[in-house]
Amino acid sequence: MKAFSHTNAKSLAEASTALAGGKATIIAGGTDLLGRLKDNILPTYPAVLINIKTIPGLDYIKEEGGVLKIGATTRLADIASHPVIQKKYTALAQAASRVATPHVRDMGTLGGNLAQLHRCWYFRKPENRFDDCVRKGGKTCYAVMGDNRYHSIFGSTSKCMAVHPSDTAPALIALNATVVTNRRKIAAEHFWEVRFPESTVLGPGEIITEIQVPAPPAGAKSAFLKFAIRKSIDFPIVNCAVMVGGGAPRIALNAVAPKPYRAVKAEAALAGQPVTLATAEAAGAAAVEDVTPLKANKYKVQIAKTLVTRTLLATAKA
Amino acid sequence: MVVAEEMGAKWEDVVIEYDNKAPFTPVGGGSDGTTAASWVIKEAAAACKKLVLEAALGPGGMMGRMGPSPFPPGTKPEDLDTADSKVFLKSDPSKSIPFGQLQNPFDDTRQSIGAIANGRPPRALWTWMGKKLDTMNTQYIEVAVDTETGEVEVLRHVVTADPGKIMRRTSLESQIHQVMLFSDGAQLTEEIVWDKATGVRLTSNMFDYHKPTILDMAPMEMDLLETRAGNAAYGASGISHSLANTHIIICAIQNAIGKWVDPPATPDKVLRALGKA
Repeated sequence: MKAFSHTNAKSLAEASTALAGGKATIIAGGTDLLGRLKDNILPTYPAVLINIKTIPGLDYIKEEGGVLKIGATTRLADIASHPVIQKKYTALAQAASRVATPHVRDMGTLGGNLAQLHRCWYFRKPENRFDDCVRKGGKTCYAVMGDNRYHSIFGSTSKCMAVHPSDTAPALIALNATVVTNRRKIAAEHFWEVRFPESTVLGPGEIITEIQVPAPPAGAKSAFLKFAIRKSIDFPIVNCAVMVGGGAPRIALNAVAPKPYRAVKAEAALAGQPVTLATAEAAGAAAVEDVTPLKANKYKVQIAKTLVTRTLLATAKA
Repeated sequence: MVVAEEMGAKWEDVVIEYDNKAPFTPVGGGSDGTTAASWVIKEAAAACKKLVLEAALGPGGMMGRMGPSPFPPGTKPEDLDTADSKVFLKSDPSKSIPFGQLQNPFDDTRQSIGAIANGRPPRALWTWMGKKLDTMNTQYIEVAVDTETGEVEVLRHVVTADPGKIMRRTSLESQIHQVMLFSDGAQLTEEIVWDKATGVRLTSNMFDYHKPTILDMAPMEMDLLETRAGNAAYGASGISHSLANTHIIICAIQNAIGKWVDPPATPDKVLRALGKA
């Protein structure tokens, strides 16, 4: 690990100013950032870490005017165990409860879970070993010709095949959430982008401050399921969140594409129908109509299809 | 533990000193410590106990600087026994002397008393009876295969093991647990992946190298037998890593889905075997 300085920010303005200089990085829970720094995976290294946990008023869960508001530095463990979120925003509580391990959930924040960088074992190889990676400003996606068992089944974005691993991202998309920053409001489904190396649309000096989730329509239910190699720790092979009933269905997946993936064809297949085994299976099949799997990840198509079906059926238990 | 048992010493009074210059120093585990060392340790400890009993009587009934022996004149070593790191008179246990006050019976300038033993342990009971002890552990696995996702879940581990004599139950059980953990990982999740173009290892950390966690382990059911048929101390034969298994889960998967999947049976391989990937 290289040396860096650490600043406890007292206000968003202070943090934003320091961040805009280009040599600083935000740290909250640090569960993704410190691994990146320790492994030295990027060609550049931050000179300063700006701790935003010290900014008052960023750690809260509250309902105001029919909207669930969660501060950016709220810990995932608090979201997973919150009784209102468990009851009304079920998919989000379930997603937060499946992130990594209890230790990580006690450290990791919701903002950090959304802004974490993508997972790719070429991109994340320590000491910047695959330095011509497109996400590092190079020209090569090593996964295309290499071992791509965990990569995108929906093609590349900006030539990158890495997937975004957030568990809470599809839940927030399914729940029609909004990400609030110190500058603007962004619909959750438009929050992620493939950049170099960032994975969000956040600009210089822009910081997530709050996540807003509108109360689900009357009669709506949501659910989240995750498929991973192990029952704890692992990032998803595929995860899925849905909200059905009381309006048009919303279905989102992650770890299947470079950005969290809203399965609009699955939503269309289910629209206007109750969730039954037949309609859920039809939605599952529709969700993977547009796949273009790589040599080693065709199995993810089958898992994605199954997970959409099962997550829809799980709403009956939610 | 064997020394404490044989000498009537407190467990905490037994100290093990390892020779850091020795190329191999056996440890007290179930793999080979029990079988390789416990018999000769037991023999040495028994010999040392005899010396301790003699020392407790002292030359001429005197305990050197400690004064007269607490035992009546005419007491013989066979009238004494040991417990809790003391020598006591069998007919009156209130008369006793701690090990720490004993004097070497052959050299009153030294307080240490020691004994050595060597030789070959007796043959195992079953060998002695003209049979071979060729089955000491059996293992059973029940799995569930999700044919839609390729997930394999071990529902039950059942182990029937004959360690001859259980020396320390928690050590024995933990040895079985860790072997099962290794076996599950080897057959289901653990794989070192190399990039074929560059030869660089891609599984660089414990996120990418999938060691099973405790949540991935099925409940362990153990039925432990004590036949005392081994040739180590008290008939122990050890537990060893003989329960380590590279293919029992793979065989169970084949029984479940009718297809062979090479380990590790990860979802991609299972779905490929089922024609779904």
